[in-house]
Amino acid sequence: MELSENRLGCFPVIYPWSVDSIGTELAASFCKMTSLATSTIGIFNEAILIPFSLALPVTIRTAFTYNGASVGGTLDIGVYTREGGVANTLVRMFSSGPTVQSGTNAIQSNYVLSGTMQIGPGTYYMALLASNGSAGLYGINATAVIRQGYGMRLGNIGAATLPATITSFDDANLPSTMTMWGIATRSFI
Amino acid sequence: MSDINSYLLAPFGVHYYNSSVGRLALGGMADSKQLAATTGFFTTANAAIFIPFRVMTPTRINKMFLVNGTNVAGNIDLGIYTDDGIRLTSNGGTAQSGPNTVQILSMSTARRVHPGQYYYMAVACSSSSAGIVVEAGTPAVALLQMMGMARVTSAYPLPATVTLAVQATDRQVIHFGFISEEA
Repeated sequence: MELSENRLGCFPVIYPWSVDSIGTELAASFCKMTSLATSTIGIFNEAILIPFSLALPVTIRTAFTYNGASVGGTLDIGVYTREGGVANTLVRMFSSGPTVQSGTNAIQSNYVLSGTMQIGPGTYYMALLASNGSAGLYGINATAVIRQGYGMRLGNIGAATLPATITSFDDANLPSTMTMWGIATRSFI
Repeated sequence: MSDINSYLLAPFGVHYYNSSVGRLALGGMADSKQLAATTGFFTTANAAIFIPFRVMTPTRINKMFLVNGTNVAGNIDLGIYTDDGIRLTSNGGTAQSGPNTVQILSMSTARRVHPGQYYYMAVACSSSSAGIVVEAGTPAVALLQMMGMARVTSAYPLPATVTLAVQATDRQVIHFGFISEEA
């Protein structure tokens, strides 16, 4: 039997509301996408980490944010694996590096990714790191306690660049807004 | 449970009618929008809307369906494409008929789709007066983009190959899909 014979392929876009991520949980908790509104990210130098799973290997080609009514500072988007062999340590697969947030009320997708973009089956974290708490993104209000139950984490970074490993976490202070951003296997969003 | 496919499909809740807002397509994402189906119109004549889907087991597709709204007009075409825009099969174009009904179209050729990758189901209409059932609320196009939808202009009837482009115009999720058969 081929590996792919009875495994679901990955959707072209992965973001928090995807069924490959925590979309089912968000639907259950009434985080309605139609309730989305622009807000500021509120935290900086700490990485928002959202889990997603793959049944088969994919190549990630694009990352994006849904920018809000204002922009500020830089954003760094990446993917981490928890299979680095060290407990409570996340290992970076790839990232964009700090990229100036630009374009209001629109999807920004000019993040240039570098690293290992072909990732295999398993569970990963998408990471978003802002340099400025005033970075505007579209999102939906949700309590931090609930989102911890979905597997989200907050990495202590202390800088505006996603590091090779994340070993320190601040999960109790997850921001109250569930923001919209993600990655894609296709070249456009 | 008669076979391994039945065993795998059962917990996933796959049905014979696989809608654009069903489990194999937008599924949880459309659920997240918490919208409600309502009657509307195909926004742009001759444009085609593409919605990604995947399958759990090899599936033969010989028929597709469109949920018609209160009015019918012009011609409709339904088809299946690969992720890089190659048409696997389509109807070729049929007059829209039967308001407030599910109109079923036969494909020109029965084709199989497989697990492990994603495909697009496509719908195109020749008239912007074609009544269709859509998710209410005119969601922002950014939401539709994040769901993985794509759009092609001047694509009626559905062409053999398309260059998939950003869905930046039509603020609607159309209810249509394919009817699965054992491969």
